Amino acid sequence: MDISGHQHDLITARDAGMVACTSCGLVASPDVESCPRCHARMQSRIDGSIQRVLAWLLAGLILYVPANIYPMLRTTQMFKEQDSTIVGGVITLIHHHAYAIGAIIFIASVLIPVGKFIVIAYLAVLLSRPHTKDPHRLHILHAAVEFIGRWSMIDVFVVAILVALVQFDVLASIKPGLAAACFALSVVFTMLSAQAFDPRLIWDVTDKGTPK
Amino acid sequence: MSKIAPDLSNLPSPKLEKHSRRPSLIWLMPFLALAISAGVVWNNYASKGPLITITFKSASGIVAGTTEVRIRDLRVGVVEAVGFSEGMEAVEAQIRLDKNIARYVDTEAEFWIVEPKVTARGVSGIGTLLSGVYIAANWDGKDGVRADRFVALDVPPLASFGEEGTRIVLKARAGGQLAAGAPVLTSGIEVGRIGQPKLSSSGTTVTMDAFILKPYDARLTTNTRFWDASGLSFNLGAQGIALKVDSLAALLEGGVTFGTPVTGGGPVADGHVFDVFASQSVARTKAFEADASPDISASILLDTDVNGLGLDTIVRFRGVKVGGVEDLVGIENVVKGPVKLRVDLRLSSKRLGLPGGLSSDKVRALLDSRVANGLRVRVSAEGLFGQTVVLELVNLPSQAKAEITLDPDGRIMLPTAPAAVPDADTGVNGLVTRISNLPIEELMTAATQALNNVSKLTGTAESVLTADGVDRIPQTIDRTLQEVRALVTAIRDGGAIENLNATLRSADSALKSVDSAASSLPALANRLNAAADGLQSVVSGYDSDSRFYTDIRGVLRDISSTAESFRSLARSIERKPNSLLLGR
Repeated sequence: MDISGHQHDLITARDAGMVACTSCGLVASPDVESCPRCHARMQSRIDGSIQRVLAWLLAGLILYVPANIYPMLRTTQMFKEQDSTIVGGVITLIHHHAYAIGAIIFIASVLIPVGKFIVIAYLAVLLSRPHTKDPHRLHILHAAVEFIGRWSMIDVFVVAILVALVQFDVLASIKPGLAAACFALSVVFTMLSAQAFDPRLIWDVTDKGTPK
Repeated sequence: MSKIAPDLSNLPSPKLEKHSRRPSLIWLMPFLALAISAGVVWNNYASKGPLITITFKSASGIVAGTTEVRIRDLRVGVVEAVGFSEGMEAVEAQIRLDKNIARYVDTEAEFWIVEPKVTARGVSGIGTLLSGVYIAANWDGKDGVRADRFVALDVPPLASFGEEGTRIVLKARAGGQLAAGAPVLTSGIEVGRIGQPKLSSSGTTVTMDAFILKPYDARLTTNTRFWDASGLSFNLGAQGIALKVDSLAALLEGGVTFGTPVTGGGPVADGHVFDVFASQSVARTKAFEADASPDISASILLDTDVNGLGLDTIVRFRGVKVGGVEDLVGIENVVKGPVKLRVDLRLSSKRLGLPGGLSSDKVRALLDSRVANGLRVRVSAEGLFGQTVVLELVNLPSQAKAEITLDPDGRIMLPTAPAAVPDADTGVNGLVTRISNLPIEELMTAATQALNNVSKLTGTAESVLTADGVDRIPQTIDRTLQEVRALVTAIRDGGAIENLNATLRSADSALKSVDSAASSLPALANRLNAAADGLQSVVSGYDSDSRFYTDIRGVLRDISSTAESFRSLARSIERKPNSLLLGR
């Protein structure tokens, strides 16, 4: 058995011929089906993880298109109806010198989702073949994506709160647009995508030539 | 297990499951997402109606994404983009129509901009103050030839689809106060409206469409006359001053009224042309002359200035109106000369005694023969003070020979005779003369005389009452009666004989005084007669119908009868003086 040349001189459970429980951390012999301690399902590597990641990612990506094309909000103000898309809303906010809110919406609705798509796609593609990247960095990347992904929901919450609060009949009222549902679904799908990612794959493929 | 340093070399190798290359079911998710997206896109696309383009003269408040298209105030579309047409000649608005009504948009569809408007008849489109303008549309609920390019109307259409009525064309003289949207009235009720007036190419008339609403259009016949109801009609005449306003709206933005003064007209079809007359009286006059409508065109050339000659000048032939002036055109003489005035006339062949329905050549031939006999056109004047200029067709055989000529445009040019118009000076002088010739002084004298006679009459009546003896008669009679009563009492009381003599004496004195009074009665009667005669002469100066005359006649009758009763009193006293005493 070759000892891996990790910079931290770590061996993985798989290197040690064991399987670790992702739920409670117990290391057990690889032939057990479920964790003897917490009865969680034991898998050395989640089967078809990359496939799932890519599938969810694609679904999220597809829904992100109508989320940007169609209006997020339909504002009715004194007989005037105005539709605003995500980017259009940001531009409007900036025109009204609400730079902070504009920046928040822009980051939450554009930068984070787009960044997430790129990062997940990068990880998935990278890990499906041999690579020589620093696994620690990849871990940080994965952790960041998982953590930050949920903040994309900010825009959906903004819409939900506005729609609930601003209902003054003729004077002003706000209705959610088609994009709100698409965007929410897109965020959910990319979060599922990040979750489907098995971070243990990062260890497997480093400088070993072939995935095991 | 007390292994501190596990012997790694003895660890069992993990059993690697064969990496499954079989695609997971998870790949259904992207397809689901795709389906959702496609559904959203399709739903959005399918609910979108067609895009039409409307050309406006100016954008006047149209905002892309906001301005709506409405039918009967219901939103049926929205402006998606506004831009210039090619060459920047107009503004084009791209409009997304709602799908459910889009199939009715055919070539007949009309569009116009609704803006807030304050008119004499109220405020309209006030909602657009807040919401901005909107584009009103109008089309019927029938499928037709599809169209996607339209030109907006400048003014709202006369009638919206579904409004029933009759469309007619009104022809008015230019310079009226009629504006688009002005009301059409009949009997003071608004029954229709006027479209945008259009100036004819000649510039003398204005034509406009008008729409008469359904129940009232039945009142239209071919004999219907329209007249201008704009503003005030002010009439100063023998009856006094008449001021008439048809409606406040008509006063401010003009309007036409129609009436049918002559019965027997046929029904009116869409597009019938009616003339709009200047006033109701003109319209009525024209209506009664309808049988002699002018059908001959002729022109004359005038080289003198004629004040008062205008489009309303009429043409008379032996005092009968035979036509009117249609147009006045100044033309320069071909040979260098002064500018002449060409007056185009419209004459009625019927009034001229020509058979109707003749060709223009025949008419010319007939007129030619009349001209050879001395028929001329001359400017004349009529009216109380000679202030109205008319054109007269007169027979002046003494005039130099002339004939009908044709001008380059083929107009029949009638020869003219020197004008018979008094100039302004004589007009004013004539007026002064006429006024000074009025028998004002005689009138004043007669009036003074009448007043004198009346006061004389009053004096006479007084003198009758104050005449000698008249006022004493009752006292005397009274006294006599008292004495008679006393006599009777005395007789009753006895001693009648002694008193009888006294009674007779006093009766005798009463009779004497009565006699003297009666002798003055004839003179009184004569005086009354004289007064009556004087009044008679005054009264005869008055019109037999006047009230004064009737009153005076009554007074005279009274005076006569008074005089007569005085006379009969005098006679009866002379005959039987004791009747005063005995009462018979």
